[in-house]
Amino acid sequence: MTIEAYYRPETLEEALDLSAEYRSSLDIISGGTIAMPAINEGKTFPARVMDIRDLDLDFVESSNGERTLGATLTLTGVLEKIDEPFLRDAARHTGGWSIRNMGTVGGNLFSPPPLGDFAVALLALDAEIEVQQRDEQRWISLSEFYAGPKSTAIEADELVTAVRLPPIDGDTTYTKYTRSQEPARAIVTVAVNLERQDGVVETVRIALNGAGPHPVRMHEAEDILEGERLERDAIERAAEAAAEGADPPEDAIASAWYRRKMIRHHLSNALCELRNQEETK
Amino acid sequence: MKELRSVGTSVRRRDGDGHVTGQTEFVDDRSFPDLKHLHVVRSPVPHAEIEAVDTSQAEAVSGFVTALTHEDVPNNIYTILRLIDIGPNEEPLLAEERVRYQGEPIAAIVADTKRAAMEAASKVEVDLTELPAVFDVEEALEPDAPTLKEWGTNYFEYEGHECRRVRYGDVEKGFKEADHIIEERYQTSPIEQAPTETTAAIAKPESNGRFTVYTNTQALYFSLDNTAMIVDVPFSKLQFVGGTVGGGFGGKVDVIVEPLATLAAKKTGYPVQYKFTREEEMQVSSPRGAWRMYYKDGVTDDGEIVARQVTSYADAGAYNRHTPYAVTKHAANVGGPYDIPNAKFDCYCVYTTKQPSSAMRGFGVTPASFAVEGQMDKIADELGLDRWEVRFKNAYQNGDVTPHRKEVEDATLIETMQSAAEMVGRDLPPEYATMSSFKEQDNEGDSRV
Amino acid sequence: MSGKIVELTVNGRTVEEIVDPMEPLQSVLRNKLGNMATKTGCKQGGCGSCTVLVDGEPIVSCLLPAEAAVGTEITTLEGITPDDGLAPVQEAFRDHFAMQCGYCTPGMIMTAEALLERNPDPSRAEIEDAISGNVCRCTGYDPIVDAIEAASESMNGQGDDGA
Repeated sequence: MTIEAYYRPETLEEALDLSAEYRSSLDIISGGTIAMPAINEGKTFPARVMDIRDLDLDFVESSNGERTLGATLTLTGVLEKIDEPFLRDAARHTGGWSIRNMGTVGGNLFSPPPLGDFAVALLALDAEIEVQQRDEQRWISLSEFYAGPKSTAIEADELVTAVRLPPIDGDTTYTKYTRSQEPARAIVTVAVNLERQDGVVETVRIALNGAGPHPVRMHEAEDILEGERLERDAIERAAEAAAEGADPPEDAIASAWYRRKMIRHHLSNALCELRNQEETK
Repeated sequence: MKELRSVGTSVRRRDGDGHVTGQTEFVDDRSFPDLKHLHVVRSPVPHAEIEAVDTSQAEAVSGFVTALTHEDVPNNIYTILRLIDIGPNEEPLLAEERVRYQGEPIAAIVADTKRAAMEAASKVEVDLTELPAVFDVEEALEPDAPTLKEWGTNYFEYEGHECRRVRYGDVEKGFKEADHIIEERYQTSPIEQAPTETTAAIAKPESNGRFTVYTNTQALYFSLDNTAMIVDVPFSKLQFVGGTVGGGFGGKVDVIVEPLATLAAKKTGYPVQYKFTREEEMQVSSPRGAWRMYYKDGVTDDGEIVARQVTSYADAGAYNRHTPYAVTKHAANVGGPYDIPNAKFDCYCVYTTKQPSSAMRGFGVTPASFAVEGQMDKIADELGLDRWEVRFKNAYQNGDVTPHRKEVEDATLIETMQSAAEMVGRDLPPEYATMSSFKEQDNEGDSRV
Repeated sequence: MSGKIVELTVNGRTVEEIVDPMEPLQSVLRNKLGNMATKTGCKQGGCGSCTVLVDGEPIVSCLLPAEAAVGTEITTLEGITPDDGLAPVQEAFRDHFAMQCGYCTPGMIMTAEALLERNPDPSRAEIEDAISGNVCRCTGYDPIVDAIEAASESMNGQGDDGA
């Protein structure tokens, strides 16, 4: 069947009512950059689609260094409203100009691998996701949100409405490695947020794209680095652990074998880059 | 008198204004009342027996017009180059008992919209029994490989031989006389032409019983003739309108969309558009094939090639398309633009369970050039000679005869290399700087001596 | 299938059109409004051949449901082509041979137009970045970047003359 209904609710209440009514038989789009290609190519034939772009969820709020980004904020919106370099870097590397004008922060969380180059930065910042359903609102960590291949921790009647970022402490680095000039799909994307005290790593979050079925944290590599100085041996061990622990997707862009090699290489480069940066207090 | 000279001046493109205003008319910029859309049901696996095809679910989709299977095709089995006497016919327009590559067309759905056609196509049930696949050219020639062709082998037969053969001089004698034997294996990958506009045609029935076919083919009359033969109508019943191609690069040389669009137009009486989706363009349109080439050269101490033996395998994928022809061109070019006195070339056109490959800029010559020049570097490096020198020393000149018995009349390698050397600021020794492709200009007879 | 009448403003003209649920703007522009300059290279958002401007922002019209464009100003290549002659960007593309087959040209020009509107004097790097979502398979990008540079110069030149 052609699509029976295309809903464009104007209030969150309306949207949540529709979600509650149709649950998993309702496809949700915001920018359209994930759902529309599949529909155009004849891969999916959804009966009902809800477009949430009119819900006024394209805001950025800041208080005490904490930022909250509305789910339908476009990547261009990120570049216009946020001057934090790490987030800007990630937004800049998520699609070409027209795609950035359409793709949204919330939608990027649902990108199939190896897409999701904004989400990987959010993961490195330990973002929290606001999830709403008709009678309930909750926050879950982005790590929890990624429940497994092709599945997330949200229910069929729930909507992702915002992303909350804690104040960014310490140093960050973002690298997207592609086969051709961007915009292009990632072979691997590396996002790191690291705090040091007198050269010793206190906390570090390493998030990778192209290393699993969704953006993933590399906890083993993080454990290796914590309590250590960013020196060659620790960097190499961490990069090795990440490469070994990864479960990279295999596609036309790169084999799993190659992605694993590149995870090691680019994570090691990213950590060297941080080593060479002066420690931010 | 009007000044007609345009060499050295910049002349505006005839179609420039149309392009920059978007008014150039590409195939699917044409619209017709009642235009129907065609979408193909494709094999999900590389090699299988077809047990059954059931279109009943598809028929229930709103907008469904008709379904086509091989039974609707008057002359289903064809090969594009039969028009220049290359055969036998071996590719079905729509698969019959077997599919031989992932993405091979099994049935076609015609519907009111592209979306309805896609949805109906997704509801066609195809019952397949998978067969072993073979993806490597040398494995395909092993005795225990699954056989793809009715004639019982996985290679195209050239005048009774299993490969395109070139024999010149005595290659074994040449190897004996050589000071060095230099061997290497070269492999290229398939390349998708990826035109920005995907392959498309619209066939429109006319009131006089003819069909007008708008197409972005790169080979208008090949497409017309093959379409007429497949649909079983006289050539005069078809008018093909082409000329505007949104990128081709060899990817639109095959005859793929026109026969089905015409057949569907004939069956339904409506104008029918068949346009590849981007994914079809990338996954089932024929790319440049992959080639594997084994070189063995006999070379003297000072870098002169005295014998060259080449065994090469073109990966045609499941069907001929243009590969048998590409292999012939390849066989004429594996010697390169060099004077090879003793040669033995065996060039195979091999079938595998992959999407058929075809033309792309060079038709088998490009992989040969890649291997030849890799080999020239290798000779120079192994012998400790200069790479330029080895090429000048072996460069062919007018009057030389190539291994496939073609007297060279238009040699330009020497002059090209001289220009290249100048451009990169490379000083050539006088013997090469003054060398010429014209032997007779040199008073001493052979300028290389 | 339940079509719906929507009001769209295309190239300054407001029109009513029946659109299907989720029907891409690309399809409405081409098949219903006859704006054939908007091309259909991939319908995946990957090639940029269907780029149009929505409120001055370049978007790929294959990924935007037409209904979501209600209340916006949509500009296609037809909309920037003067009744007589060519816009400076179009002229520059023609004169610099910034096209071969012509299929990517409309999308490329729309992106260039949006860039020059925001940034009248872009560097080559900024031009390359702006058109990075528009794929050309024939010519190579150098003549395209040349053309956009030339268009910027000619537009600025005209601006200076007028001042």
